[in-house]
Amino acid sequence: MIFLANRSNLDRRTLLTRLHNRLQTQVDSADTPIRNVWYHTSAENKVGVRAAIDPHRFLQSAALGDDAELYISFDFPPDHPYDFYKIQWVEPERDLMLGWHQDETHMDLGECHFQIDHRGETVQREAAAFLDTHPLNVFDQRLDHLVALLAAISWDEDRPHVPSDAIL
Amino acid sequence: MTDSGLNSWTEGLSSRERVREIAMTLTQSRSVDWVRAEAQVSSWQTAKDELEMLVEFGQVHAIEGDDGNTKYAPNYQLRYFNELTELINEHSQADLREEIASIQETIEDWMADYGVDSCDDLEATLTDESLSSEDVRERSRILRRWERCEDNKRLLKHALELYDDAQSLYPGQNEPSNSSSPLSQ
Repeated sequence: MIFLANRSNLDRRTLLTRLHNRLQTQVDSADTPIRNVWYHTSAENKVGVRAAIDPHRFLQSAALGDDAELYISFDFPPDHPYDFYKIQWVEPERDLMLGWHQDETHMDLGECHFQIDHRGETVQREAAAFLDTHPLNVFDQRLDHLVALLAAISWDEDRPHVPSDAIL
Repeated sequence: MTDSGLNSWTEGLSSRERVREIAMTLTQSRSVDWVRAEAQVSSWQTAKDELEMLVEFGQVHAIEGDDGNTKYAPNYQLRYFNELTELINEHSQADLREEIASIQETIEDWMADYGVDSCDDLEATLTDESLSSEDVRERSRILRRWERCEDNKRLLKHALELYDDAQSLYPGQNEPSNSSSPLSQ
């Protein structure tokens, strides 16, 4: 048997499992906005973690739709000196997706960028702070930023926009 | 809940538990001080003691860093077997087979879409000068997903190969009705 364990896949699976289990323990708690947690695409073929969120509880605001999801994925490419991740907030009702991408795309914006997609189209993309910390801390910090960003969204002719100074 | 957002991963964890959480999810070798800072622990000695204990129990490896100081690295062998154990204990053989088929279907779609026979073939097309930069980026993205799928498919196949033996060693799971092969001895 040829045994070729890909370390970055093991890093990813290990981390997704931890994150999934941590969020899962909060699902039944009355004081968190997490409604449900699952693996994308499945527990066997795990490439990301997704969580259904009560947006009103998450943001303490009634300005959002009734349903939202978090999409979280990590990657640890051996040919890059830092960890990749995508942490995104998705609202199906408004066809809105926003979040941070630390990946190989849009390197002109630096190691990390913030992006808003609306109705299948990218409507804003800007450089964001590079967080060179452990993925669990990246997740925590981005979720903190997310609260402020969602509160800062303005709609101009039905297009969402966040002021640049609100993007960390 | 008075605050918005989600609770931090550090919520309710002691210093040592936080060090363990960081150490067990390292993605590369790191110094005591890096782990200490990421675990949000003020005492260097506490971080060091906990890391040494994890080394003793085989949970992480201690290696010599470039600067001569000890660094702590993931135990990938252990991670691989942990993943196999989880797959075997939490899924039926039928589930694992079904997932392999589903991954294979995804891969076959990519083969058809790009007219290639393998992940390596797709990688070879990236140097094709007739492709636009957007096409190259798209293919690179697919390539990464393809590689992930191949990694997970390999893991699932190994889980199936070990399934009966591993299940027979798992307390409460080795009733004959749960096993596709009869128990001997």
